[in-house]
Amino acid sequence: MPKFSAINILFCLTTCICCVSSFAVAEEKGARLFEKPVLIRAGGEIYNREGIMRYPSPAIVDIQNDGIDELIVGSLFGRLQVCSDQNEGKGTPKWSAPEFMKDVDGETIKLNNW
Amino acid sequence: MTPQVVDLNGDKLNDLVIATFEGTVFLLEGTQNGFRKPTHIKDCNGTNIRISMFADMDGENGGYSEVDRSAEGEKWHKQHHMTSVATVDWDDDGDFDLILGAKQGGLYRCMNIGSATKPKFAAINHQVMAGEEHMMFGTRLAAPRICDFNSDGKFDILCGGREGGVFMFENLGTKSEPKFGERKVLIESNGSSFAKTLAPTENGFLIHPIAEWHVEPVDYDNDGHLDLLVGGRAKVETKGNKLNDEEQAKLDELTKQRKAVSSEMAEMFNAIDENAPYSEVDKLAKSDEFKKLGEKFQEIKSKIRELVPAPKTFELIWLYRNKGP
Repeated sequence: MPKFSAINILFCLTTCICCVSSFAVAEEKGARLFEKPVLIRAGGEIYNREGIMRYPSPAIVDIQNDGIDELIVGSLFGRLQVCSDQNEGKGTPKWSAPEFMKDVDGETIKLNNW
Repeated sequence: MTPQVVDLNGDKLNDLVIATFEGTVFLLEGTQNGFRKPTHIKDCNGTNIRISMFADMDGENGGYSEVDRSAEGEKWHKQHHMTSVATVDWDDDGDFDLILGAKQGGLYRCMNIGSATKPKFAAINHQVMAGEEHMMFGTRLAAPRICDFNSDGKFDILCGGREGGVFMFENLGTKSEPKFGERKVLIESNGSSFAKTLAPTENGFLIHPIAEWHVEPVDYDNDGHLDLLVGGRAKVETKGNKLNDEEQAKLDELTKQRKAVSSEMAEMFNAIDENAPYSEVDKLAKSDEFKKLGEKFQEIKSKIRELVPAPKTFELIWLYRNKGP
């Protein structure tokens, strides 16, 4: 998208400027409410979508209307990934390897983005 | 960008609602066999729902455009750009309203003036208020999520964001008239998107997210307490060859030059009033002076990369389990 390139550079720059100042390295203040975080696995591996997804935005929802939740993940790139629960809703989920989510016509869902 | 599944049109089938950096909201209508293709959710005038700034994908000039959708008497934040959406029955009238999260950290609400089965969204947005102030999460890329975090029967608002951390505004009002007070920190950030290295624990992966947190409150392990699922990015310095004295001196000089160029660009950007129309920002981005600085910045960066490899970026999801009472 060449017409957006200058603006994207500016976005990155402004982001950089604003990020530098605000947070000092701190103790985990959420520690009293939450345990130390653990990485989510999917398909037996740590969920890492470098280069495929950006800003992974997870949600746990029942998209198949079968009473079992799926993990769906949004991304800056406009595509969604889905993992199904191999434990079928019993106990802690065990996620399958991520796949791109498809629409009712079997095509990969793609949302407009800049 | 966090997707949300709700029955937005009351047909007993789940729909998918999601916003993107286009600055608009999409609906993927649910059918018995899956979701339809994304369409923009429009207001009662047939216009795409936005906050203010949006990527004009079809415009002649490209770039961003602005629109005033501020409610009467409320300030028009010209550069506020929606990147996330959440649904909630704000006024307890039985239908879903939209909470819009801005890249700049502010929240807005777009009310459903129709019904649960025939949603019709207002052509204006109201600022979501925290006391007398516009609710700002103090972190950019506000990605709001709705849940009853304190189990008092009313919805609360949680949010992650670009600089990391999870924050909450508790609902101190009633079911039909929500009111919010001060921001509470559930998890404080441990750094920024440009933090370089944090201690790895497993195969080089970090022990916590750094930036661009998108949070999902969910009882992950079915123990009756809301846990937090957090999508985020992490950047880890890649180890390169040890530099000799000459290379180190060159790196120090280049780093100094990069900082100087970056400061100059920041100064130019900061000179623009935050309430100025986006055209001012666009004008700066397209100016010869700014473009030359951008080229210089990239040139210096390339030279630095010849000496020090680029950091490795990970796109991960973490689970923060709620310890319970």
